[in-house]
Order: sequence, then C-alpha cells, then structure tokens
Amino acid sequence: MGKYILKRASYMIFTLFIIVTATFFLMNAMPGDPISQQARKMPPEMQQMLRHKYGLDKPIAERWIMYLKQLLHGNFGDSFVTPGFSVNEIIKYKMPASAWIGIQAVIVGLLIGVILGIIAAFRRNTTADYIVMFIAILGVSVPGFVIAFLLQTVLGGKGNIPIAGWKSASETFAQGLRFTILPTIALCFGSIATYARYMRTSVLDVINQDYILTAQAKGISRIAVAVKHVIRNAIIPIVTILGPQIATIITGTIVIERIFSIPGMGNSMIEAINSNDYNVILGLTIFFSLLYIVSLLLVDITYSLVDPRISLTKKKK
Amino acid sequence: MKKAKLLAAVLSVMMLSTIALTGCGQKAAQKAAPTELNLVEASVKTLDSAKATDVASFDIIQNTMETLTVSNNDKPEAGAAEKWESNADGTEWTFHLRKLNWSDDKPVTAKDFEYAWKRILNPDTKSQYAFFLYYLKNGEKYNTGKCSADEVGIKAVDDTTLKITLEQPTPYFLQTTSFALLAPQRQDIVEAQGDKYGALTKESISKMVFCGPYTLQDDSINSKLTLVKNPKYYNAANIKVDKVVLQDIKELKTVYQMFTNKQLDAMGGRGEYLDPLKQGANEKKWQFEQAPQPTVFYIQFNCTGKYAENTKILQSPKVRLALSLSIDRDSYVNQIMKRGIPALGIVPGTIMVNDKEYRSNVEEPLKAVMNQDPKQLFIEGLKDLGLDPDPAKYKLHYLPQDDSTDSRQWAEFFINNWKQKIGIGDIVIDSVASFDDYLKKTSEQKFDLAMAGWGADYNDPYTFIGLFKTGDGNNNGQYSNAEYDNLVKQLAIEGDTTKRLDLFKQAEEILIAKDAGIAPVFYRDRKSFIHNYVKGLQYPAFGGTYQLRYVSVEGK
Repeated sequence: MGKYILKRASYMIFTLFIIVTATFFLMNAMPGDPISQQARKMPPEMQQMLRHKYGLDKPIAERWIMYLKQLLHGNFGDSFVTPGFSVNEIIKYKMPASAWIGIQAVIVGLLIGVILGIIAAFRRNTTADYIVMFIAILGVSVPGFVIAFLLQTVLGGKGNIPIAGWKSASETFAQGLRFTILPTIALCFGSIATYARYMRTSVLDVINQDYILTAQAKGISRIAVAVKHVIRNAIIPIVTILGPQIATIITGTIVIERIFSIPGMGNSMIEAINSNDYNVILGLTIFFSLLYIVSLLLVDITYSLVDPRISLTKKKK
Repeated sequence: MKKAKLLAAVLSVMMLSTIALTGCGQKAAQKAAPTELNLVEASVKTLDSAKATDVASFDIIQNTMETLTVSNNDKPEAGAAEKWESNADGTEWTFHLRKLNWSDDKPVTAKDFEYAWKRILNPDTKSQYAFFLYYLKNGEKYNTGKCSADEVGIKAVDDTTLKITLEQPTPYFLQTTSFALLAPQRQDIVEAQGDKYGALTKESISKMVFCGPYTLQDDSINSKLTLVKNPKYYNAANIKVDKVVLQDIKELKTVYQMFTNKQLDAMGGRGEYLDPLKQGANEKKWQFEQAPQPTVFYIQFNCTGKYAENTKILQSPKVRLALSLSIDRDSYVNQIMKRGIPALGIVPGTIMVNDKEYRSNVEEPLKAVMNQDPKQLFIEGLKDLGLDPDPAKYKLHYLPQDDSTDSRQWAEFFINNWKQKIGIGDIVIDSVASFDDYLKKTSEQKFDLAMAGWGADYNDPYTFIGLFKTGDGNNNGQYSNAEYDNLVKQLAIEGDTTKRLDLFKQAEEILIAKDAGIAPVFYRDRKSFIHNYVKGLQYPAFGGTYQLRYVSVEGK
C-alpha cells in the first residue's frame, strides 16, 4: 500500500507539472498582462518601469523557470491586483468559506442521496420510488444555478434565511450557518440525484444475488439482511462516483459562490482571470488541481477498504 | 439497522440544529443598531490610498479618511483644511488645517499630507495613479527618478499649514483635493507595516488609523465591509448613520431580490430589472434618481490610413463626419442599450469649468451639422480623395471592445445605420478575444473603426479634450490637427473661466464637427433606486461610489 501511494504521488507531481506549464503558457498567450488594463492612463515609460519591477519584461521561458523555482519553495507569489496580499494568503483567507460549503454539500448530498436510493430500491414500484426517481431526474437535468435562483426566490429572505452574503469574521459558526443553507442545497442537489439513482440500481442488483437468498433462507431478519448484506455491498459503486462528484462540487462552487456572494476561492478565481492577475490564476489552478488529484487518490484507497476483492497492488503469486 | 438509525439521527440533528441556529440568528439581527445602511460595493482591493486604483477601494478611503476638501454634491467643501488661499495665477496654494485627530488620538498634521502625496510619487511605491500628481512642481521628475523628494512642490510649513506649488496654473486643482487618492497617511503606521499596509486582513485593518467619519471594523473582508461611525471624528455630531455594511454582490438578480426585501437599501438599475424598478418607483415604493456620469463612449477612426483595404478613406473629414452623422444615437441609447444619454459632443454633463457647468454654456457641436445628408457628404469626401465615389465599393472593419454578445449586438446596430444611410458596401466586425486584446489592437492601430470609452480623471473638460492632441498615448486613432493642438496648448495654462470656455468650445467644434476626429455615441448615466427611508445618499461623480457624510435613515 505504501509503495502504491508513493507511486501515485510521483504521478501526481508529474500531472501538476503539466498543469502548471500548460496554464502558464496559455495564460501568457492571452493578450495583455496585469499592468495593461490597470495602468493604461500612465505614460508608457512608467508602464515599462512597472513591468520591469514585476519582472514582466523578461522572456517567457525565464519567467517560467523563475516561477517553478518559487513553487518549489512553497511560495505562490504575490497578487498584482490586490496589493499586500500573497497568493498563499488569498488561499488561507478564502479557503474556509469554499471548504465549508463544499464539505457540507458532499456530506448532505451523500447522506440524502444514499438514503433516498435505499428507500426507492426497497419500495420499488411504489409511490415512494416514483417520487424519488422524479427528484432524481429533476436533479440531474436542472443545472445548479437554476436551483440556486429558484431557492433565492422561494426561500430567500423568509425566516431569516439570507438571499446572499456571508457571515462576518466576528460571527460564530452557528450564526453563520444560516448563510450556508441555500448554497449547500443548490450545490448538492445534482449529487443527491446521482447518488440516489446509483444507489437504487445497485441495491436492486445486490438483492437479486444468490447470497441474499442464502441469508434469507438462514432466517436472518429482513432488516439485518438489508444492513449487513445489501447496503454494505451496494455502497461500492457510490464510492466510484464520489471522485467525479467531488470534482463537480469544486467546479460548482465557482458558480454558486458568485450567485450567493460567498467570499471563497471560486469568486477570487473569476476576478483573477478578469484582471489577468497571473500569480493568483496559477496559484488557484494548482490548488484546485491538487484538491482534485488528492481526492481521486483517496477514493481509490477507499475502494480497497470497502471491497476486499479490489487490490491496488498486484499480489505476488 | 444500527447504521441506518445512526444516519437518521445524524440527519435529524443536522436539520434541527439548522432550524434552531437560524432562530438564534434572528434574535441577534433584531438587536442590531437602528441606523444601519446596507449597500452594494464591488470587491475592495486595498485601503492604501497610494495604491488604490478602483472605485470600491476609493469609496472606503473616502469615507474613512478626511481629505483637504470633501465633496458635497460634487463641489469641494472644507474638509481637513478649514480654509485656503492661492496666489493670483493659481500656482501656489496654502491650506490651513483644522484641529482633527486620528483614531489613535494623535493630531492630523500637514506632514501627514506631505508624506502621503510624496509617497504616491515615490517610484518605489509603484502607484498606478502617480500621473495624477504630475501637476505638482517636479511631480513627474520625481516619479521618473529625475529629482529628489525635497524638490517636489508640497511642504508642511508647520503642523497646520500646508504649502503646495504647482508646475503651472491648473484650473481644476482645488476640485481634485477631495479625491480619496490624496488622503493623508501616517508615516509611522505605513512604515511599520511595509507591504502589508492597507491589506484587507484582520491584522492589517486593526493596525490602521482613520481620520474620517467612519472607521473600518477589523473583521471586514474585501467582499463584506462594515463601516462604523468614528466617535473621534471632528464632526461626529452630524454623522447620522451608525453602521454601514457594504457587500460585493455580483449577480444583478440577487441584488434585485435583496433590494425588494429591504436587505439592501439602494441599488443601481439596468438591464431587465430596469422596468420593474421604475414601476416600483412610480408606485412610490422607492425613489428613483438619474444623473449623467463623467464618462463618454465614442467611435475612434483610424487616421493613419494604414490597416485594411479601405482605411485610407477615413483620412477625409467628410467621410468621418458622414459616419458620425449616420449613427441613430437615440434608438441606440433607448432601445438597444437601455442606458446612457445620447452624446453629440465629447464633454459630459457633469463637467465644470471652474464654477460654470460646461455643457449648459456650450452647445453640443454635432447639433449644428445634423441636417447634412451623410450619403452626399460621404461621396464628396471620396471625391476629395480622388477615389471612386460609389460608397458600395468600400469595405471597413469595426472593432468591438470585447467578445460579448452585447458588444456584437451594438456593433450590428451601427453597421445597419451605416449601410442604410450611406449605402457603404460592407462593414466587417473584427474578432476580439477580450478587453485586453482590444486594448492591444487599438494601441497598434489595428482597426478602422473602434468603440472606445473614457472616464474623467478630474472635473475639467481638459480630461477629455487633451486626449486627442497629437501623440497622446490614448489617442489610438492617431488623430492630428495643428489648430486643435494649438488650442490644447493654450488651454493647459489658461486660468480665466470665460476664455477657457471659449477655447474648449473651439476645440470641441473641431474635434466633433468641423474635422470629425471621432464620433461621440453616448454619455454614461447612473440610475439609482433608493428606499424611501434613506435620505441624502450621495453618489459622487468622481472618486468612490458613495458619499456617506450626509446620509440618514429615517423610519425604516
């Protein structure tokens, strides 16, 4: 296992290197630089001076090597547009809000989705099943931002649920929770649907297996069969889709943060792209990629834990 | 079963706690101070006045710091300076400061202004607004490293007397002293924090000192800021709102919902929300305010003759005027864009020449030539150039400002106008990837016709008229006219109001009508919707978004 993780880690570093390089050159291929929009009212010689000070007048290859060196020291550089802020600080300040919404959405989505799927499977072809499947189709086909606007219209401003915004730094977690209700639902609505559908199919699959018949024949109670044999086996496919679902949540937060005015990394990312804030674009891209790659690794490791039949390393015969 | 129970238990606890906690939040909100104002503000970049470049940052600075003068309905009134005087030609100014303190009880002195202004010009600060202070004696020289800080024309004579020497008479100088860029700064505070000064972090904010009507609560983040009344402000007795919360909300739909729910007290109206908002104003649910903004949009002509197959026809003033006259500005503004005010000149409505509003004294130059037939004019222009006089044989390129569908739609509207009224052969919309791409292409004269916008830097027509002198860095069409240049040269030093008005009038006539160096399209406007319980909320035409010194909230 340790060897496997090490191998994966080296792949991860290679993947990240490709991502950094591609982003760096693509970004520089875009017209303009961090100076061009901001300083267009300055005399040209002063603009040139600014470029020189930020090292933007150096050849692109040299800047790329400088950036990689800087990365090796764990330093993402400084923001051009927000004076006094390093990219590390932007991540430090913006991550909590994104992480809060993201983690909450994964947990709530998983719990509700799995439970709905189980209900639908055990009560198949009943009203309960049809309702769950209807929600599932709705969730898969309606994009998150539409749900977000719907929630704002229907629930926003009622019962002290804010339409948008975020807690102040001095407010406690409990006081801030009300701000997260709508974004969390909007973000996990699609996942609920996906989990429910997968879980339903998977449970139905398992119910028809011979070992379930055996268990029932042995006289084990229905509930014990369901929990010990059915659900435990049926949950494996859910783990496989967890990785892609986490990716959906990460990209989803970018849109959801904008709609609900959440001071998270997604919002910063959009602003950085709009203003050509090179270091912030690169830093956040690396961070988002790292998050995704690591979550994929964790999912792979979880496979082997839930299903002993799956082995991550080839066993010596 | 145990697991299922556990799941169910976890879920129900989560749901219950959500309900319970939102309940708690409600109680806390009810306790909040009665005079609170909730407004929209873009994300704030910095509190360091020397490094700020955006409206949002200037907004916070303008309301937490006291500049020499402060703007009240866009006119400078006594601020940190109680009174001031200047010499006859307006090159030397003396400001006398009133007694006022920083939030740490130390007095605001003339030295704080001298330090702040010189810091903007110091090349090491990398201030992008340094050019603004080039009117100071040796300001440009110091900024470009050609002289020392001691030679710059600003000096604290004593704690309360500030002496300012200008490079040449600058008629709009006094107007600029209310700009947040020129707020005082404390050397000890700035230097103690170095690069971190003004950053929107709890640590940096808690170390800031303020001298304006509000202070910034240190739990502010750049997308949600809380301003609280500064009890140590010299005029605190007249500040009527205790707390102002400024939030960055990007989606207009969200803003609209929050406004109608009174979670926001004012909003700017545009797009599809304009009609319902106006409807609400008609029903007296809220107030509606419309005002011109000092920004003009215009089409620039490539006057170099070099770009595409027919660029050379744009060298004829008649061809340019024909293109300008063909634009149906009223339909464009009212039906296509649904914002702005049609422009028949280059100087917008709010701009002043000393104490006189320019536009109410000088008629827009295009009005006088409106009756001419564009097609005839176009043909004459072609004949003057010795070219085939059939408009249908010519093709031009149009460069929009970005790749949005809006920009494309606007471009197609102009093209329709030109085809219908002149019968020009074809006009192609050039592709542009982004605003940066647009800036690059226009600065390299890679266009025939290009949309452009310019916002005033200070309250004087020179900010617009000076733009089109030969060789100006932002004169991207490379328009050049000796007579015009001569007028601009005189305007740079002329101080007398009547003479200035006349010189501006002559210059604008050349630029817009006689020589048609550009085609003005529209002036930007502001449409604000404000709840009835908010009184005296000002939107300054220059600097930050709001002026919060005169606002009050009554009977929300």
